[in-house]
Amino acid sequence: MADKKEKKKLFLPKFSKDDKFIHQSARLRLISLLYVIEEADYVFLKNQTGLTWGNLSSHMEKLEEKGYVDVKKEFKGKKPQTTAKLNDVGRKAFEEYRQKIKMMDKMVKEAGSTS
Amino acid sequence: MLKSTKGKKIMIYTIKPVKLKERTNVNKDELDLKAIEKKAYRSTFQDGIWDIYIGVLLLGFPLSTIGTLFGLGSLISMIFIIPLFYAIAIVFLILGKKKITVPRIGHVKFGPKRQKRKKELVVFLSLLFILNIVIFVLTNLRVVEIGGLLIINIIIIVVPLGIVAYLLDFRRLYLIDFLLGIGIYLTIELEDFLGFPLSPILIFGSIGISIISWGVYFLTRFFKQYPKIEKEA
Repeated sequence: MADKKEKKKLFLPKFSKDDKFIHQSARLRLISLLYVIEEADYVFLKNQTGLTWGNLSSHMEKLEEKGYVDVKKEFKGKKPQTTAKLNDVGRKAFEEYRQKIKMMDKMVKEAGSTS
Repeated sequence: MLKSTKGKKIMIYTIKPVKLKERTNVNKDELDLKAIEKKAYRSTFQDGIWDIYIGVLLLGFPLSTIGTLFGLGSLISMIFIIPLFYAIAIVFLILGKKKITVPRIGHVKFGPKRQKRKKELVVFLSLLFILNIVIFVLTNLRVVEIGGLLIINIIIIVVPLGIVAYLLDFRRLYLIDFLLGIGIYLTIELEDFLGFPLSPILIFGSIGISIISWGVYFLTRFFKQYPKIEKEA
């Protein structure tokens, strides 16, 4: 039994609640994009991720509530502009998630090559 | 998989060689950060504005020689017409990016690596500007003789433009640079045959118009692809 547990530990990275939160496809697209840039407004995020306005704002709200992104609302002339930036907490959470996915990928590849 | 033998339950773990997407529901592209960053960065060149800008700059060169047909000296003609085209091109670039591109694709600030490259580009262009003035003055005053016309043009135009393409990470600029190199070579080679100013007018005129044309094509496609967003939802 202990041996089995050891096997599980070796092979399967443990996904936390935070990882599952990031894992959602739309949020993953948003976080990945925000990770590689410094900041962007919602128009840019919408164009790059292909999300609808509704989806975008709801996921951004969730990311903000989670404390992963800093959202800044301002006016450019008469037009409102909302800018988002992935903060340090969000960056760290995404890096951890990415690490686990990489491990998973490696594991799948290794299993594929041995079977 | 669960098996039962003599009342005992035994867990057998099997790992199927499946793709990452099937096992984790994550598309690998969603985690390819380099590709995501490149796609985001290159989307800022989809508007064709840089192409039109460079095309107008190139067009200024043959058009500046037209003055010679009306008895103006080539130097005076160049001094008046080239800066005029430079001004038109730079105003178009700045206003185009501000009024056409940003309202459609949105505002973005790229990471430190891109910002560093941008600074390097500014330094490089400033140095290039000084170098061009020095070469222009020295060769016109005949203080220095720098090889043939082809070598001068390669030093001050073709090589720097290749470096600009690299620093900007703007792939179409390599093609423009290549066309420019060919154009310089043909202008010099065909000058005896076509004469001056017909040789630069025909060759650089066609290259400039071609670049502007594909720039306009990209701009039209960009308008269709990214309609102007009046208000964030």
